Formats: sequence, C-alpha cells, structure tokens
Amino acid sequence: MRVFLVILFMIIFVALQISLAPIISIKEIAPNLVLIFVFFVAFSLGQTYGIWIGFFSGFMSDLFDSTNFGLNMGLFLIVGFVIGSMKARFYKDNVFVDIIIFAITILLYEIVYALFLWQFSVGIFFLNILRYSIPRVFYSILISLFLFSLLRKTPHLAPGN
Amino acid sequence: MLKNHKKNYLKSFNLWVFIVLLLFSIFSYTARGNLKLDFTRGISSSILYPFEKSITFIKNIFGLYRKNTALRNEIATISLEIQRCANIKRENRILRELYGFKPMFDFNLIHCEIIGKSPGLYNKSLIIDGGLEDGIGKNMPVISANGLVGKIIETTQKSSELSTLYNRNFFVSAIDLRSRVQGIVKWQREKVLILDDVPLHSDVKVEDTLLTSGMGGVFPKGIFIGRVTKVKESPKEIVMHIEIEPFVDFSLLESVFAITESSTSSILSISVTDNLKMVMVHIDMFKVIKNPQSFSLNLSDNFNQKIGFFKKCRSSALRNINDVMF
Repeated sequence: MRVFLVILFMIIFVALQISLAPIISIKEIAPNLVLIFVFFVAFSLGQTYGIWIGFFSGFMSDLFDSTNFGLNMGLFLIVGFVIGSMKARFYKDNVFVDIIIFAITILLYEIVYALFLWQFSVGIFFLNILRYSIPRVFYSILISLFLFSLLRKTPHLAPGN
Repeated sequence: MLKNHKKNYLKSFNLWVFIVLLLFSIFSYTARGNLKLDFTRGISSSILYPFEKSITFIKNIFGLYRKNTALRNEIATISLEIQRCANIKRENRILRELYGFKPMFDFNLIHCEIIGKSPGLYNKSLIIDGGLEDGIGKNMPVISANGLVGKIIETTQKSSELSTLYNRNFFVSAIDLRSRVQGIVKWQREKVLILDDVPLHSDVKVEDTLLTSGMGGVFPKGIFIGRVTKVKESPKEIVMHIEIEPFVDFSLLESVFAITESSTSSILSISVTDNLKMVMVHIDMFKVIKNPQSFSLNLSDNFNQKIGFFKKCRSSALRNINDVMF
C-alpha cells in the first residue's frame, strides 16, 4: 500500500511541477515541488525509498526537459541517497528539523544545478545564483512548510503512520 | 544479530543500486539528444496528461471572464485588421503574379494549449496538448499571436515538447525587416537573444524588427522574432554584437499555434514558354527533399491541371510540348 501511494504521489508531484508550478510562480521563480517530495520521502521513509523515488521522479522530470536529460535524475538520486542515510540520525517528530535540512539541501541542489546549466558561461553564474536560485530556494522553503505538514499527516507516508 | 546483518546487507545493496543508477544518470546526461526515449516518453506523457490537462482546465476557468473580455476587444481590432489585410493580400498576389514572384506561403495552423513548462529555470521548453494524433510532428515551427515561439522537439500521441527561443540548442535564421541584413538568432543568457554572424559595420539599428528569413527550411519566411535592443561593435571582433528581445512574452504564454505543412505544395509555379515547347517548373527543394513522394504526386496533379488549362486554350499546340525543365 505504501509503495503504491508513494508512486501515486510522485506522479502527482511531477505533474504539479510541470503544470501548477509555472502558474504559482512569481516573476518566473517557481518552487521546486519535486525536490520537496523527494526530500520528504527520503527523510521520512529512508534510503531505499529515497534512491528509487529520487531516480524516477528525476527521470520523469527530465523527460519534459530533453535539453538537460539526466541532470535532475542524477541530482534527485543523490538527494534521495544522502538524505535517506540521515533519517536514522536526524528524523524527529518536528517539522522544523525537516525544514532546516531541506533548506541546506535545496541550496546545494540549486548551486550544482546552476553549475551544470551555465557551465559554458561562468561570468553569469553568480549573477544567476543571486537573481534566480536564491529566490527559488526561499520560495521552495516557504511552500515546503505547508507541504511537509500536509505530507506528515498523510497515512502511510510518514514512518509513524 | 540477524537484524544488524539485514541492516548491513540493505545498506550495501542500496549503495550498489545508487552507484548503478548514478552511472546511468551520468551516461544519460552525456548522451542526451542521442537517446531514443519515444516509448518511455509516450508512457510518461499518457500518465501525466490527465493531471496536466485538469490543472490547465481549472486554471483556465478562473481566468475565463477576464480572458473573455480581453478577447472580445481583440476580435474587434483584428476584424478590422483582417479586412484591411485581405485587400492588401489581393493586391500583393496580383503584383506577385505580374512580376513572376513565387507565391507566399499560406500557413495551416493547429491551435494548442500549453499544459506544462520545463521544470528548470526559464521556459526552455514547453509542453503542449497537441501530439501525433493532431498532426503535429517533430521540427514543426510554433508561433503565437506575437511571433515565433520555437519548434517541436519531441512528440507523443497526445502531447508534444517544444523548444523555445531560450533553449541553448535553438537557432533560427533571421532577417532585418528594414535593412535585410541576415544572421542567426540564438539564446545568450537569461532573457537575452543575440543576432550572430552579422559582419561589422552592417546596417542594424536599435528598435529594428527581425523576422525569420526562411533559410534552413524549418521556419517559413516572415515570422516575427523580436526587436533589436542593443548594438555594439568592437574592432577586436569580426562580427557585431546585437542583442534582441523576443516579441513573445513566454511567462504570459497560454496557447500557441503549430505550423503544419503549408497549403502551398512543393510545386511553386508551372509556366509554359510562348512557343509551347518547354514547360518550366519552379519547385521548393526543401519540400522535395523532405517528401519526394508527395512531390511526384503534386507534380502530376499540377501538370494535369495546367495541361487541362492549356487544352482549353490551345489544344492543337499541346502536342508540341516535349520537354520539362527543372
């Protein structure tokens, strides 16, 4: 049941990222909903879920961005693996712990993503980090506050349920 | 003891799975563009399509009243413009015939809703609700009311992915409306496009309008691309640095039109010499190369039509036609 639910949520989150995120974007800054979900699954359900969900949600996202195919797949996979291994040490019944670790994760993700995206034009890398990546980090953290609380209450998705 | 053993096994298993999947991701990234993912993309699109369509539908309902009012105003303005254009078009056709110019393309448009945008920064690619079922194919140009949007790069049965002007792999041959200077439009950074390959001291000025030049065979001639915002010449460079702002605001884009095969066939014109001994056929080579079968059909159709026409006029002289020149 848990596996089925996690897969269903993964599909929903990828669909939301593609169609809802652009609608709720502010000046083209959209939250990274898929990363929020990958992080939540890895952090609450552990490494095995983290790896597979990270890989497949990245794969599905990349199918709609052929130019950078493989980039999200690899990055979400790493997030799933690393965050999944932190579950035993850091997971507590407090959503703010999730938020703090998520903030660090998304910041690193955005930096690595930007590095890949602008690898041919280093001069504009820092400018884009400040102009796009940092606002995206803050927007995603804001959305994650709401989503983490919601996902924790969803049956079968949090470890206690 | 057994629990610990199981835990260690799971950890090492996860590590191996992680390594294999990571290598796969790296391979995919390095080989991107060469991977054949049509089948996977088809399945994925079919799963996500209902979600994307529903979200777009809900979004559209909310903006319906505002959109309706705006469209009514737009229709009134466009109706007047169509009347004016119809007259100009007729004049243009007559003049073209008089001077023996090729006929202009008439576009066949397929309307598509944007149901998704690529997850990355900027709108590098968009997902539209038209696919193979609707007659949309790879490399078809996509436009909006304001100008060029991009071209189709991937298609599935129900949806397609289009690469916008902001994609780093997107290039389009352009021409300056005023001075007829030609160059290649490509993405440079953020929302800035450049007109490349324009020699120094060429006549390009700020506020000039750029259109597609029709070179390359993908984009028809005369689609609006953008406006020149900055022109810089440096003696160290061999080409000018020209920045362009596209006419299309990608953040506000809700629907687009894919241009299918234009209604003009690969045969542009067939004419017969005065002595009726030679037939001259003007053809569009890009279309012939793309679809040689359709060309031969078009040729026979056009030829029969033309022969029919001449039969009516000078049936006795028709037997003298013995050569077809391309």
